[in-house]
Amino acid sequence: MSVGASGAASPATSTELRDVAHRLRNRAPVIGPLLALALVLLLPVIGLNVFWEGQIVLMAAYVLVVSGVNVTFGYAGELALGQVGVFAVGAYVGGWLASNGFNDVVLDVLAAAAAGAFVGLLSGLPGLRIGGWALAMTSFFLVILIPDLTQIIPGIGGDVGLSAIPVPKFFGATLSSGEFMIVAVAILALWLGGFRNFIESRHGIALKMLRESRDLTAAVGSSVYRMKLVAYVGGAIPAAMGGALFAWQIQFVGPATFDFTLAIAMIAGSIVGGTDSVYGAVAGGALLEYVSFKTASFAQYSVVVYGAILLIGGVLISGGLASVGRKVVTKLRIATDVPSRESSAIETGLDLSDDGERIAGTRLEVSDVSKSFGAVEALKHVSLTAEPGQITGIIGPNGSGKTTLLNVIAGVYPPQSGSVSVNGQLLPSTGPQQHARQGIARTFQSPIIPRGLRAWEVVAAARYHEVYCSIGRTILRTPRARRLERDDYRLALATLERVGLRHLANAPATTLSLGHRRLLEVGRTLVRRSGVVLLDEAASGLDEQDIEVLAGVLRRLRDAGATIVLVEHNFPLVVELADIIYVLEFGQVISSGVPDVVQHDPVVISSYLGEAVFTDEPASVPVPMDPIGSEL
Amino acid sequence: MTLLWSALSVGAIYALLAITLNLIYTSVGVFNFAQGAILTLGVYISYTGVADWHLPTWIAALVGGVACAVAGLVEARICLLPRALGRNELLTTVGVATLLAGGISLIWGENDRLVASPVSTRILTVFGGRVAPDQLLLIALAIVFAAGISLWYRFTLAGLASLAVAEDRDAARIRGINVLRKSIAAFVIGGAIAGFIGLAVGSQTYAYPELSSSLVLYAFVAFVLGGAGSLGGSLLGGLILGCVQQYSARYVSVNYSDLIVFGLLLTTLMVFPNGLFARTNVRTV
Repeated sequence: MSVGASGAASPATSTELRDVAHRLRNRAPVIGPLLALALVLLLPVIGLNVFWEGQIVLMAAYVLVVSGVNVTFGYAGELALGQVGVFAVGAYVGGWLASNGFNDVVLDVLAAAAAGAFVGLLSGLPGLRIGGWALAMTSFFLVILIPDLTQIIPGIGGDVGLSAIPVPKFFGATLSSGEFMIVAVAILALWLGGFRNFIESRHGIALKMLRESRDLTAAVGSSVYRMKLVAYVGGAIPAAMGGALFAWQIQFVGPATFDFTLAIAMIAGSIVGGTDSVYGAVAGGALLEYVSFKTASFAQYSVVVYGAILLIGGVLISGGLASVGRKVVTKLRIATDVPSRESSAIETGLDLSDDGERIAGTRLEVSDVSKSFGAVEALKHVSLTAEPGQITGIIGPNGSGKTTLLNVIAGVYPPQSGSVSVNGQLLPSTGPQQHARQGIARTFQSPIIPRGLRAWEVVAAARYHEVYCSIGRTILRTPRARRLERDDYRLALATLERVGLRHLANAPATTLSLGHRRLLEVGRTLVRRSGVVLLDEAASGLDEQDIEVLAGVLRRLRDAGATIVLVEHNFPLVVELADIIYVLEFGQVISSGVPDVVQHDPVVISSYLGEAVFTDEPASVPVPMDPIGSEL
Repeated sequence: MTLLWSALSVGAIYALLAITLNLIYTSVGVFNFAQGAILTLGVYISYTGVADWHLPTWIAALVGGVACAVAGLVEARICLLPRALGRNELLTTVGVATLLAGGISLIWGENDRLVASPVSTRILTVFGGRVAPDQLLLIALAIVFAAGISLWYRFTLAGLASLAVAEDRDAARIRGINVLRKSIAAFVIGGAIAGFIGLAVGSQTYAYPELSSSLVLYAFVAFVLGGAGSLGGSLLGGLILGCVQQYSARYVSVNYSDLIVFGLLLTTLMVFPNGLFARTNVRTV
């Protein structure tokens, strides 16, 4: 709300105050952890005994593991029960290397991370075909396999495990327990810093998009497979690093450690801290550490407690301790009137005069497309053309093939015969992702708006693949990465301006009204270089006023040169908006032409419009009865 | 043949649990991870009924069935709350499973309990193989439940209504079918069956708290092999799994048996996502 309002009421003092508050807040997510890190590193100076130093190392190991759960479950939405398997891999790789003459903290942690990444990749592969519980169960199988694998793989001690793992070394120098703690905490801090940079970037936004919907991810041209693999590998790396630290600290690795209860404990830890948070993992890791430390008295009840945490987490979706922290920050932000992290900094440099900028629409040609499902012929030799700078309406009753046609154009279904081309270039029938990359953009009948994103982020997410920034660059925040993020924000704002949502740029997107969510989806189609915009029932469920606004936006976009394809029930709206209309019935185009012609076409009238409605009345008069729209 | 009997009886346990998983999945679209824990609860309660309360075998099995039906009811009430549906049902069902497993080890302790066979213990020789009556009982139960529930689906109005719910929840709702009640009923019936068979299962497996997670994992494999929506598939899937496990343990190595099962699971998921015997496509979410 108030990006505009806060700018308007700005006496010099309040502006200054705002700037200071903003700068502080901007760095707060980094400053806090840095202070905590410094504090931990100072602990040996104030005199911490060996026992507590060991506890802190273990906690660091658990925080890494929980952090990995947050990546795969919290951000990518896959419950990886096999996380404990990756933890075991890290522990065994680290423990074996240390025991066999390669005892170096940096080397072994890196080796463990590499091995963990590999196992994460392998265990994630079935996730490319399946998801949800099937993937969870498949990854759970890893836990069962651990004892067998320790028997099969030679040199890792079978049932007995690896014991007497030597004290860690750092470039040849043997580490004291205090020094090892410093190294462990430094590794954790590096990971958390990198994780934060990753998750606060466009990659984090894209993962939230994936968590919400695979269809949406593909529809903006991003690779679902690739992103899923990134999530699995990203979750496995910290778990394996944690495993290596764990092996040194305990000086022992055995198969009995890595059981189902530990798998559940990791997930419970993630929930307690907040699954979609970066620093919440610290709280989760502390819980695991506390439980393992209080073995005798608490262990008995720990399983019940984990179960309760999972249940509460599943029913209440509370966001864990991290959400409490976030609420405090939000309150502070409101109190100091800082609208958002980026906006006040970049806003001034934003040129919104590009409202009138041309949109390079492309010519869409559907020729002779047929598609049947079993015995049902959904589309029979459909041909149509949509020109840039025009709104092309496709109407027809339920079952007429509209949605099938839209899905063929969007690449969801390959046509059985015929073709779809853009500016004369044939589109391959290899899925929505390829079509999206060739410039087809679409909206969904019920808008798909990822949770946990602000409006501008929803729009910006569509640029993820088109202008890609490597993960390495993102984590290091190179100039290119930062420039891309500024571009994302600037373009998202300009796009929101275009669809009339500029004032809601920072609002949590899922709280927007249906009308606004529809407009947001339209914005999402525009932020990419998309030559064709497909609107799937864009007016359904909207009231008169919302439809009016939507129509205004669509007209402006058309005038700017966009190719807009409107797939609609709502005949009066299409007649009012479209430059050319195709009427589908039983999978065939029964009539086409300018609205005036189509609505007076006897075939159209007799087939389903009802004679009384259209024969005598002029086009602009609202239709009292809406036989098609009422099917909604 | 003796090995085959033992493979089939182990497979029958997986099949029975997979049938209840399938029943719930078909009606509700939820994979109930807690089903293994509910079966384990049934094992312990029936065991206590026989060993401590000195109930007759069949009464103890019924008590187990009723207790697990109640567990299913409570679970359904929690997991089917509107806000718990979606991706969170994974969390809630795993949470219920963990709670139950934790509760079981608090009440009965960690030690294995020997569960008395509900039928005679005299070893029989059938088709040239030696087999215990309780093993035959498990195989018979699996066949009876798979056939019985399939017939119920096909020939009763309530069964058809359940299939309608599975096909399209919204359409079923519009036709006046109470979808929530059907879903809860599926949990309750699934729980009742799991509890009822507890005694027969326990006499083969012993009773111990970790039983729940390993049972649900293998039942999941049987469920995947047979395909969602097909009870006959779950039966065959369970029996095939039992054979693969037992024969590979005997002729390859005990250490490789689970790896081989894992390979079978992955292959099935990647190549035949609708199961080995699927004829129709079940809508996957």
